[in-house]
Amino acid sequence: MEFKKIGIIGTGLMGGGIAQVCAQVGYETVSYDVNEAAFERTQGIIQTSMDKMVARGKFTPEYVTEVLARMSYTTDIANLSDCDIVVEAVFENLEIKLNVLKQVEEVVGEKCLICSNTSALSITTLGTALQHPERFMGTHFFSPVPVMKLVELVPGLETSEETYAAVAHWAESIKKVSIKAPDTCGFISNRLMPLPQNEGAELLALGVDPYDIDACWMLFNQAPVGTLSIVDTGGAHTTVGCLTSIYEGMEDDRYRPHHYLKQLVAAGRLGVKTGQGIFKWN
Amino acid sequence: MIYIIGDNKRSILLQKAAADNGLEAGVFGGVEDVKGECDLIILNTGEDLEKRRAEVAALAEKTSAPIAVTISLNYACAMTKGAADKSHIVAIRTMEDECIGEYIELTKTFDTDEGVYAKVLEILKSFNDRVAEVPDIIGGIFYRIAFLYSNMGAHLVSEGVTVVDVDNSIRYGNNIKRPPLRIADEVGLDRVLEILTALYRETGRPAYRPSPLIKQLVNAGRLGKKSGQGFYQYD
Ligand SMILES: NC(=O)c1ccc[n+]([C@@H]2O[C@H](COP(=O)([O-])OP(=O)(O)OC[C@H]3O[C@@H](n4cnc5c(N)ncnc54)[C@H](O)[C@@H]3O)[C@@H](O)[C@H]2O)c1
Repeated sequence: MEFKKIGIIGTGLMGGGIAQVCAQVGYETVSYDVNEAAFERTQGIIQTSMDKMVARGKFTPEYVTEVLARMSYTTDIANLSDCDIVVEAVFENLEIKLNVLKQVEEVVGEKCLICSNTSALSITTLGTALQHPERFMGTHFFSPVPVMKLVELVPGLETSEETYAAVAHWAESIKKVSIKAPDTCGFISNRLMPLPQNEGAELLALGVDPYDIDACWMLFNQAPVGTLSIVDTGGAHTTVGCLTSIYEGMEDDRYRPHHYLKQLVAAGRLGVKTGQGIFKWN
Repeated sequence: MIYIIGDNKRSILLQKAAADNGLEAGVFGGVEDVKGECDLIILNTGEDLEKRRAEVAALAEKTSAPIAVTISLNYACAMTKGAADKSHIVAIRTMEDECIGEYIELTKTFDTDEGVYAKVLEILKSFNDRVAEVPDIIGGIFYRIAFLYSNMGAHLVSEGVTVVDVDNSIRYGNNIKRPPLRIADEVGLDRVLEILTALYRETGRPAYRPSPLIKQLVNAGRLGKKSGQGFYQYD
């Protein structure tokens, strides 16, 4: 199946990034949002990201002009009608997502594939919004989308093999490395990521220096950042949220959030953005 | 002068790191080789606890120089049992045989003299980029964080995720160059299982409960790189 036009629902951090990587390889994109203010903000982020590539000699200014010309914006969902694939990237809220998926199926053609960029909601559950859940699946991108190469492809119970194959082909065309993930809380990446963070918190509670933990982590894994620095980047509340959703959603005791992380949240030490988390930031 | 006792790869790497930083260090076969004055003795013999306790006791009897006992999955305090004078004994921990000279952990016991501890810390700092001062906990920092991804990754493989996809999720989602199932194969799945088992037994923390798949692979003799097959196939 050949795709030409990609629709993106929600023009926030992720939706903007997904549209950008699509336009960069030649697809036409239509970004839809209920909030017009989102367009300007996201266009600014895309411009900055592309300017950086120009400065580094990776893109020419002409190429950037071409890419931007392929991207359009709309507050009318009907303008997604001739898309070959639509990716939903609205707020992480089940009701909002179910609603918008239902709306989009009403306007698109019967061959159009529909994907969700949800981080943690069940793809099978989201698919229940649709008359044809066989054309629906999860495509979980990582932030910032133009930089991170990974996308998790998540088939729901009703997703057809044709849909999966076509979406995998599309993912490859936008130069992503795709992996096939089960439709479980946290898919693959989010089930791995928080474990060293949680056990790192246990070490902190036992009096270990966080700088030593991150140094050890980075050296052994050849990682660009420490596992605890990642906690501070998103804030301990994000880590606790991720752990809790898997702990409760799958009743898996490996993900019981450590009390040290909960204390950080209670104290408002939410990392980089508050100036203090596990580390001090200025 | 640093005496490194135990003729193995780690001793040689420690000696090299010391020599690269202008320290005099020699590798020796056994406790009986320790003669005369020295600044530090590193006891880096096998894993047999009883044998090592006897060696520590013999050394402590013989010399008043600081003794640093290498440990992995044991308590520092466990090593001094039987020694008449425990005040000049500490424990150190490396990342198996990796990153030697770049990272080392140092742990005191209840009985370690503060002056001795400070002196060992200073010597270690002179040939290691980072010396992590760690309380006497099972596995220290290294073992407690190193194989969590490998263990959960194995669990995901049992759920039908491919080995390559587990590794790619870490490689391309976290920009980590050494993905977890590859690392586990390199370290050896029998060793990984031993580490997880010890951590789980001692801490009770469920993240260390060994994945059944790792147990199965070990039972099947698929120990990773060294046996030609583990999560991956090697030729
Ligand atoms: N931020 C991340 O790092 C990240 C990573 C992976 C996945 N995700 C997932 O991607 C999705 C989007 O996240 P984000 O960080 O881009 O959020 P965001 O808040 O930056 O953007 C969401 C956008 O959706 C719009 N929106 C809300 N309701 C809408 C509706 N009914 N119709 C059309 N547009 C609507 C909002 O106006 C906003 O512009 C979420 O499901 C999130 O869990 C986020």
